[in-house]
Amino acid sequence: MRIPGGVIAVAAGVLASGAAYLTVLLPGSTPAWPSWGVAGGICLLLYGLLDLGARQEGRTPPHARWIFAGVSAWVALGFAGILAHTPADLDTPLVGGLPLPAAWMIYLLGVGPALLLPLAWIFLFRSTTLPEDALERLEEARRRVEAAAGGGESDARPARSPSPGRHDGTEG
Amino acid sequence: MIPLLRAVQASELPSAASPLVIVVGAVYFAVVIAIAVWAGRRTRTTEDFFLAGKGIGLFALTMAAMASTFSGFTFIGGPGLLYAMGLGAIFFVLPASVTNGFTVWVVAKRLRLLTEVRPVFSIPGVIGLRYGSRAAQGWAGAAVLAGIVGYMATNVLALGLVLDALFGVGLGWGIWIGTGVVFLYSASGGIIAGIYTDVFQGTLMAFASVLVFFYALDSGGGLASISTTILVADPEFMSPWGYFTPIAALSLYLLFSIGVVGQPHVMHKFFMIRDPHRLKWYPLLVTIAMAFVILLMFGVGLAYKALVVTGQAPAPNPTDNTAPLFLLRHTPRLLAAIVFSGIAAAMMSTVDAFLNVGAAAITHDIPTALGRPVTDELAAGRVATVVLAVISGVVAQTSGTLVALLGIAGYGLLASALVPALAVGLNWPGATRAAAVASIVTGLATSVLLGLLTWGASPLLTIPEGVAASALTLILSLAVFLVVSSLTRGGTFAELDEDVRLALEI
Repeated sequence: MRIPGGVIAVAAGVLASGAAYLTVLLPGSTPAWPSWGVAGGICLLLYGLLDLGARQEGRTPPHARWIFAGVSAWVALGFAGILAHTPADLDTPLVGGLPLPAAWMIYLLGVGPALLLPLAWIFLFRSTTLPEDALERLEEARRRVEAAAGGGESDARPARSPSPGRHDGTEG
Repeated sequence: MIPLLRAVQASELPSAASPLVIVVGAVYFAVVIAIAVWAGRRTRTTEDFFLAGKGIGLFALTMAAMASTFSGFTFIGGPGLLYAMGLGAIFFVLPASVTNGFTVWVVAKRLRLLTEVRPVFSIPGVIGLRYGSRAAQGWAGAAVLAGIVGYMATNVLALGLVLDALFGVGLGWGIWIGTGVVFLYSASGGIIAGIYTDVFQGTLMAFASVLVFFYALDSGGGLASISTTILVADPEFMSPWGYFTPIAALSLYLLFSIGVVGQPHVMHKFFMIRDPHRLKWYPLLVTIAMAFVILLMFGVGLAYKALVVTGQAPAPNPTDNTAPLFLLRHTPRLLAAIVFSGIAAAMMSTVDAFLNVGAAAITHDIPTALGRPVTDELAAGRVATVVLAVISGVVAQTSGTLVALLGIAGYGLLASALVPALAVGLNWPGATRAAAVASIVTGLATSVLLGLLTWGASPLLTIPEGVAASALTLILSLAVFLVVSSLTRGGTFAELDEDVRLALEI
């Protein structure tokens, strides 16, 4: 079975974060790179999990993938900006009432993704998230499973390979 | 660990008791009880009790998710933490900018669609259905119970402190009055009562938070003036990391962004929306609602620091008193009364949500895993709610530091145990049953172990750089999930019934 790109990104994120944490746990002084490793790991995990979550019929819609890449890059830019910042002092310019590094964090990391992901979800909802006929297809599939299991009533629950999640307590 | 310790409200608050505060508090509680009575009459089936009959609308889902996510920490611990640790404390709530978009893309649709084909009503139930595994469902149920007991007890303890500050009844009575009210509406009205009290509480808190934010800005002469005042006295406070190390702050971001998918009291709300197409507007609305509430933590923490720096206010001791002191000294008494009541309400809504998922674990998931299903789950759910409420009250009153240990570990434990099986497993056809069980057990065991080793003033283990132990366990359980999935077979999408598979692939 082909491994989805999202799983590869999640694995890369786990590796980056894991390596960073292992370095921190080793005896001796901690170098600077583990912070960058965790920051990169977070972005890869976000991208990978979003990419997996948007999969439909075995593939991720390309425009959704581009949006996730953009959001992850935005978050990466936010982390990079504050990781690379010099300490604020009275000469540091205020942006929106906050010193530039803090403003970068609040407005770029805080506000940007908060708008991008929900708006993308809204605009892609019908086309790639929950198509109009999704519920009808599910209902038809449920009836087929029920019929295959020999169920009688149309509103009865499927009985084949009963799942542990049923109210009737039967087991899978 | 130090920052997480500060997130636990465990010290006495300044008294806010006054006739106005008592009247507002009494009205608040009367409304909550009225909602409980109304909801009790509407709760007739197991699906009503655990899923609100799958009949809630978009606004109710939005406010309930927001209220359940924000416990008393956001209003008490949060401003205190910001005062104590500087702007780095924002990393506790900064992930809220991605979590709502993240959860809808990653799990919300799948969770809701699964209820179209099977009567699932708990997160462990979803895991059992996805992997066709009673073991996975049972371990997930055990993880939920382990994660929520301490979390609930922590909130009950904090609730007791707030009620003591509000009514001057003493901590012990505060704990049991709070527990009693939550028990009343949880046991009688199930999640219907929880949802609609959340709507009432959440709406009020969102508006009150915005008002408090503007009072906070006004008290310091505006945001720019506040920033300049603090920069002169303490530039490090105004750096993005505050007094945290960068990797510690980033670990909080990791935990509170990815980890949200593992919080059953938030995720199980997705089962309840009447029409899944209404999920379209959910992430935008809940993000706005959360932003309103976060303004309180940000504004009060920052403004109070400036007030202390300029000698206009006393230093809070302990720092958890930051928000109560600001409210009592710098806002109109009516607004302070509403926020104090709202703080108690926020804690109650979190406890209520935990009671409901805990009751589902006790009456459904664990018995199912053991092959001993409960016949009358509605009655059993009510009894389990009572038992859990009493246990949390007793633990809060008697166990001292243990309650804080469990509370701190709770969020991380739930994230570590449940995120891989849900966030990856619901969306990756190749994820296996063995991987789900292995990652849940890994998250549960390592969270408990690291929690014990890193606890206390003289811990057996200190993680360098202030990194949260829960971030390590989350990464470890994800790694275990991926490795075991690559090495085993069984439990993939190919083995699922057509309708279940379609709900996961559509």
